[in-house]
Amino acid sequence: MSVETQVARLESLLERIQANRRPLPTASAAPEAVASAPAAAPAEPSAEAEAPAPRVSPTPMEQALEVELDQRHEEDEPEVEITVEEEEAPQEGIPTAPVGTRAPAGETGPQPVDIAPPAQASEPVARVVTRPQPRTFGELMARTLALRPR
Amino acid sequence: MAQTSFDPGGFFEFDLRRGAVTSRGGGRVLVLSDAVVAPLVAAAVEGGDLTAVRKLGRQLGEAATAALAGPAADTPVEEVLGQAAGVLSLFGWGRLGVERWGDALVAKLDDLPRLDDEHLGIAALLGGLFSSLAAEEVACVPVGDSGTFLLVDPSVAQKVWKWSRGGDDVAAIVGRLAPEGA
Repeated sequence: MSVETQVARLESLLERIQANRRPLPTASAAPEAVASAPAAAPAEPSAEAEAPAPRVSPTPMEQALEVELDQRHEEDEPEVEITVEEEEAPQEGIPTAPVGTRAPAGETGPQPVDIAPPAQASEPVARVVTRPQPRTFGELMARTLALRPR
Repeated sequence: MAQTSFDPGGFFEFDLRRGAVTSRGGGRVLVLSDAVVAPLVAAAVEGGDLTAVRKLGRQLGEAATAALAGPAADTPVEEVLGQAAGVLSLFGWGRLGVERWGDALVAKLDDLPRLDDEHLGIAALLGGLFSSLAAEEVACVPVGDSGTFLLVDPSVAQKVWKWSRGGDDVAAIVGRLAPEGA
């Protein structure tokens, strides 16, 4: 079967589907019909026109199309939207080093911080103040006899 | 020229014809047994008058200073104490040693004769000795029972003696003392 034949059969099928459909009454059309019509007893058709039209069951083809459309709609709108800024997006094609060897060797352990050494002391850090030992017996006894109870 | 260390040679002169003994400098001395001297000293302690013992100490001090080239106050410590120790040992009062505890001075006398229970006779003897050497009054307070004496000014001797009788040792007593005005 050629493509043209298939297209023609599909078109005829669609024409028949459209022909089998009855047009649905719209809300805006009903008042206009009441205003232009001569005054007469309301007939059943007017009352029929105000009543909601019974829904026509879709054909198998329509059902198939609707199912496909519904599924496509759900797939097109994901529940979670992920936004990736272009600047942060990983650039493909740039080779990267393995994670384990990305840092240079020696930087993973503690790194000593240089501290400036103290300057050379200009004088002794501490002095021990002591009195010279008494050299004469007089100095010795003078210190001894100067002791008093605290 | 004066000797820098104690020379015991010729210190005593025994004159057998006269029956007298003199020490260097001409003073007559008596050689007595400690068994005789001890009750005399004990009686003096009980009577509260150790003047005679203190006077004996002064004579020993004078014998020591007589060998010095100058005043004891201007003489090196070792030389003065060496002369004093020599004289003491020559008269049979024991072997003198001296310790410095900071500013405090502690005299230790080994092999000393036991004259009274609390060594108050020896304390009086040493007090007279050091008073002569220092040319001012010095009190020696017994500390403990091993011939240890603390040299102090007489004005604080009674308090130090109380501490000593209360059981304080040399370290505790010295810790309670401080230079006047400090």
